[in-house]
Amino acid sequence: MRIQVNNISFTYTNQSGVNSQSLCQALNGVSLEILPGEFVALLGPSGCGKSTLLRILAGLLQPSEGEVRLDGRPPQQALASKQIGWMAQNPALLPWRTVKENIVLAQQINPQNGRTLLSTNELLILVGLADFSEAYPFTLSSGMQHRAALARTLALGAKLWLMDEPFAALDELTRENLTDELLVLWEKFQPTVLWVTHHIYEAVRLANRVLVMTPRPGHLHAQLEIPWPQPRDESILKFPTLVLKLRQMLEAGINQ
Amino acid sequence: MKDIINKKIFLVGLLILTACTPTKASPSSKISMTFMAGYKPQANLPFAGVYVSKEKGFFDVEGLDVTIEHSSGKGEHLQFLVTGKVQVTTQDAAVLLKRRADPGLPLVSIALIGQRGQQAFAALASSGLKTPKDWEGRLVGYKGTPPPDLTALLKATGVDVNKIKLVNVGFDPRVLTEGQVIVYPVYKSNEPYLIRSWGYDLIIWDAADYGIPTLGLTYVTSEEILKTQPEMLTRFLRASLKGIQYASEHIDETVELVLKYTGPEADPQHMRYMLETELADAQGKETSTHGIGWQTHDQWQSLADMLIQYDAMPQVDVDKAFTTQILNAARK
Amino acid sequence: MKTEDIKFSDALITLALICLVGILWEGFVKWQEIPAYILPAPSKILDILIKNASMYSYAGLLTIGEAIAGLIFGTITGLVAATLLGLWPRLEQAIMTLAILIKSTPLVAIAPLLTIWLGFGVLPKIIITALLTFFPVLVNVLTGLQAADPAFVEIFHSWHANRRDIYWHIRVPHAVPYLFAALKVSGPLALIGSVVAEWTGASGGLGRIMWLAYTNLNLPYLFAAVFILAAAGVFLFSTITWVETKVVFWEKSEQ
Repeated sequence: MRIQVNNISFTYTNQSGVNSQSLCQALNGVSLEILPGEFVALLGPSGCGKSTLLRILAGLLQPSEGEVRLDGRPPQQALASKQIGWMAQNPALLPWRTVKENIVLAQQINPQNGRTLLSTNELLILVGLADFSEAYPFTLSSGMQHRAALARTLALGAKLWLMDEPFAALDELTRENLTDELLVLWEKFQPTVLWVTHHIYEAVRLANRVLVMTPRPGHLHAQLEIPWPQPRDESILKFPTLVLKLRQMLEAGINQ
Repeated sequence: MKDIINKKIFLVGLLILTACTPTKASPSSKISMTFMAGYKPQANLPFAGVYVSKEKGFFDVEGLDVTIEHSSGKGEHLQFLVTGKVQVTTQDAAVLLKRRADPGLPLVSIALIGQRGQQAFAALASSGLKTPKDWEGRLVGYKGTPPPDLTALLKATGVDVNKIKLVNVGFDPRVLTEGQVIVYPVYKSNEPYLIRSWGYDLIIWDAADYGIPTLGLTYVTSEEILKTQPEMLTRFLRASLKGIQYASEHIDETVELVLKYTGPEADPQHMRYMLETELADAQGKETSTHGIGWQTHDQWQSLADMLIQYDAMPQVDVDKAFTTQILNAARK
Repeated sequence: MKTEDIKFSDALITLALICLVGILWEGFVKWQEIPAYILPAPSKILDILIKNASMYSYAGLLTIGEAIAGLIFGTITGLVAATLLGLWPRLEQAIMTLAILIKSTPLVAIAPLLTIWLGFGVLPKIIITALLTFFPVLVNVLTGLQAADPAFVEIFHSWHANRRDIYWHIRVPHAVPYLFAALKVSGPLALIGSVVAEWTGASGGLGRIMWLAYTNLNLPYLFAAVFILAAAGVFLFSTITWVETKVVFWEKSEQ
């Protein structure tokens, strides 16, 4: 899916009828373009509107100014046709349903027939939860719950994955494993991925391109291409250089 | 052949005739009514009269189908009476007058069973009190609002009301035995028995002994029912008075019958005591000539005067509060 | 130790504790020579209970029956009201005001009215109990419906779910634990409600026995009824808790 964002701004207001007060301006003049199949990391300090931008792309919020196009159409259409694969820190698996039932439910809501090419069992094998289809989420570890959420996202067959620090609550080792598996799945299914993080190292490890945002009111201040193919690890010579460069860009954005 | 047919016609005719003729003793259809005792099941005389009538079939003889209910003592039995949910209930004479005056309930006494009231005051014998004069400076209990017969009693014995400390007590005679009050308001046929059974001796002051008019329990109905169903009331009263008469002659058996209604929580000796005390107070000047339950204008007026004098009640027309119509009809 | 073992030894400890209290009570009454009309000894109370077993059984069943019927009735009404408010929040002010009015009106005022309209049977008792239990259920279930984790709502929105989906899949199941919390309060309350309703006029039941016994100052009979009431309360509470562990299975304690 191709993303085009044209000079959008967003201000949170408390809506009390005619006299709405503006509480905070989260985004100010953000423009970007993401090509289909790219893995783009969105890096920035906390509270600068990264999540807001994600929500606008998902069609869950309307920008106060500016325009967003997904494959040339407004985000609401992508939302309505379930092209949005949303993953956040809370895996949000319904605790009263098994893993399998959670995945099936995701497909039953606003069903888009004929889109999922893989069965639920196949999806679970892909995320390494083949033996846990009848398990309830409360019996699974955090890492496993995130895998289940990933399988659920895959089941949608969405072309755009919007990921808001989904593995941030996990320990480092689990997080690395999961992101590696995520990359495998990305290469297999080739969605466009926008990955929000404030973890510089992770951004360099995962993304083709890193967009750096300033604090609130956020706008895109710099970007960096990461030219290496996947899989990559930190033994690549220039890895630390790019990490340092990103850090400098980040600090520059903060000090603006 | 002709004989047989004739016999058959005769037999059939006889059958039809006997089916159609109402039997003399009971009317063609029974009248249903509900009696609600003004308190829980116990051996108060009006209640006992009804229990006996029901159990011994006196109501059946009168062609009445009587359902017996009991009040919880919060006064809702009067509400049920005036809304027609029950047809006869019981009520203390003084309260009857007060409710007529305010809020103006259309109550009418059809029989005055208690010729003397049961309200009295008691103290433990060990307190050393002898006359109401000794109450000065002591804690005296009352139930509800300070009763006029208390004020009347104090006046009659020359006691200074201001020297008495009045306190509102509920039903729980243990406040007397445990010393929370020194003088406790009692119902003569009730609490004294309990307190004595716990091993305490009592001294009792009865307002009537000091010339203060008191009247006891009545059978009461509403003006509406009196007007529209006097026949039913007459039959009810006739049977109930017969029940009371029976009770006075068969005390042991009556206690047994009462226990059927009270359940095992009641003490048979206590019930017996209650019955005997109230039977004694059912006799008076009027009843020796007119029978149990008789009531006169003078009796009611004396009570009303006392209540009005001690500010318990505004003016009321006592002649509307009672009637001898049903008593007269019942004796025929 | 298995969970079942833990539960069994819990029950034994509770039983032992109750027996200990009973023994201390008996000893105290005997030692201080307290008369039965002040505080009866447990031995006397049990004696009365056994001698009148059928009376107490029948009365107990009646009162518990009234309580359960009222509990069911009140719970259903509370659920209906909470559902209405969940779907049409505009009604909230009106319905909550009505609910608070009902809750604030003392039983003593309502009970005789109900008896006048509905007669002397069990129906007024059931209605009174329902009135008592309705409010906790309404408030709790409403809170539960509105307290769903926004993360769940968000992901449903990302699937373009409609309001009904969100209501049935997120809000309703989320409100179930809250319902049980309310039932744990309402259950014992319903029992008390039945008893109090019987005090205002009844032809049977534990409340009636208690009232009659008290006005006759027959305390052993009173306490015997109280024992049964307490046992019924514990039983009701335990049953509700047990059902909760079966229904809200996902909220087990961490292993």
